[in-house]
Amino acid sequence: MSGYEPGPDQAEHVRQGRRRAVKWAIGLALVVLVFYVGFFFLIDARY
Amino acid sequence: MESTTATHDDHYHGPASGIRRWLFTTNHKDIGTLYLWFSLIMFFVGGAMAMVIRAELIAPGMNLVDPMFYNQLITVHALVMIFGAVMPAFVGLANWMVPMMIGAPDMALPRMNNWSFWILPIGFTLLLMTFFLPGGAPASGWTIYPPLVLQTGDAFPFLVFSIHVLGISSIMGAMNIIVTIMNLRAPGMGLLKMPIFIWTWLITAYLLIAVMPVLAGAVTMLLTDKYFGTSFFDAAGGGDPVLFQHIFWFFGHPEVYIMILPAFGIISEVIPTFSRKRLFGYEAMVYATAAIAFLSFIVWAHHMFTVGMPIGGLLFFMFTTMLIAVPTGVKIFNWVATMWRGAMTFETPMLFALAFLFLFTIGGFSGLMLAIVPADFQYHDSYFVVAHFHYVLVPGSVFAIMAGVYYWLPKWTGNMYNEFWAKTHFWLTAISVNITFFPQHFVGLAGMPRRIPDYPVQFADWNMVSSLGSFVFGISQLIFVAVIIGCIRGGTRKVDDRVWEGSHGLEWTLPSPAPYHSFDKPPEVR
Repeated sequence: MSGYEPGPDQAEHVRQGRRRAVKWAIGLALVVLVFYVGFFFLIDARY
Repeated sequence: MESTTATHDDHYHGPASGIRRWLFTTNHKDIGTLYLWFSLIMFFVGGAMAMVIRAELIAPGMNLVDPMFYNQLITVHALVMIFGAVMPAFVGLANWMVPMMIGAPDMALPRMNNWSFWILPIGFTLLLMTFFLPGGAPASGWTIYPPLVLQTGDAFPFLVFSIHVLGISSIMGAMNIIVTIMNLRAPGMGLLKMPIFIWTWLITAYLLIAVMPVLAGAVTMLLTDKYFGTSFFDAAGGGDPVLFQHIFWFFGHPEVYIMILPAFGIISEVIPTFSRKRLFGYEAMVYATAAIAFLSFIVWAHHMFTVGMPIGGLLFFMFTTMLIAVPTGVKIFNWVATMWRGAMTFETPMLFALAFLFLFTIGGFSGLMLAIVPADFQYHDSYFVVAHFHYVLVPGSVFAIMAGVYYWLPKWTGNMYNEFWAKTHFWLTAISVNITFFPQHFVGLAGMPRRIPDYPVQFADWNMVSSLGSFVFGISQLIFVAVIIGCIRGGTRKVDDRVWEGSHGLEWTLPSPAPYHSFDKPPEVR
């Protein structure tokens, strides 16, 4: 199962990193969405 | 995460027991192992299809399977090898090595990591079960061009849905790799201090994010064309089937680099280790990788020269394609310069890396030949193309994966593999891969088309040679499995932390075998 937490020395570094990582992931997911949905608009405009 | 405090004590727990460990794991090493075993299984599934294909082609005439089933085999062989064997193998290597190389305790989004893997078997179940549906599996070739692919029977929605699932898996995996590399590097590890394998994977992950949604969009449009009355690719309704080819190859050509850039990364790790030198031209390697990735977006129509396009388009795509040889050449020369006056030894990973260097270059040169527009009119859709992309993918991507597995296996298991049998595997593989694919250049140049189950007798001799080579290649891979299992079960000896005399990097500072949870304390990077 999940639940692995790093040792105390690493904890703060990893916690901050993972917080940033979630924001990054949301940004990348938006990019994916734009590429996916945007393609339909692009094709629709062409034809 | 919010509950993490300096006093909590659950970071010493080990893996769960039994099947729960593998189903619910969020540990990057477990998930890396799952990916690698899955890709090995798919390598044999796709390989079995290749064996049937080569058995059919061993002599002229219809020998073994009916033509429709043959078309299904070549289609699914390609899809399985690309999406099931090569890509998951690289993702598996990334899962194992990215956290260990950047000094992170795990991937940044471990639960998503679990999902990325476990939807993969679901996608392949959907794809492989189509063999048992009325009308059989998709038979259009992996390029799934309309209108041909729209003739697929009940398998069609399964094909589209499986591509969606595999795409979602790839995108989630790529996002995880990007966010991990960008946010969880050890303090002090700047971007230009990252190992080159990390750089190649970072760039590959961006390629995946950019092109997998495009493939998903294309297959969705196919789906709506077939079932919902749209005419994206139907000329009768005002659409254009050539449009699909443009969209497909806008995905398809970067996909080629998705399957080779991580290979470049592995080779860039292996060659310095066994040359006992640092990588020559580190920054040039990084910029060359980025240049190849950029160029991969503006060369797609070289797959379509014979379809017809304006002369300006032909010239543009010809020259941009040839331009790729420049950063690729930088890489090849940097690897050679790394070896120059190095104290080289030839353990199995190095042998695979050297074979990669020679044989991938052959694949690259035949790619340059195909880039020449007037010449391509001769080569297009011939076995020359089959020879070209198999040289790039088998002694290219697959050899790099094997080099990576032999290189890191002692670190994963704590045991050394059997060098004699590993070298036997290498030599049988390296010789048979050439016997299999080199003659395909000859029959292709002589005019044998690809994707046919029968051929004129003039092509008989070299086809027999090719088939016999492929059987040796296939059987040789059983040695690979035996060496891996032997290593896991104890190998020939225990290895120390560094494993290889010339190895550098954070992963080699960890104990062998690598502990279930690594880097409880942030490593120091100077």
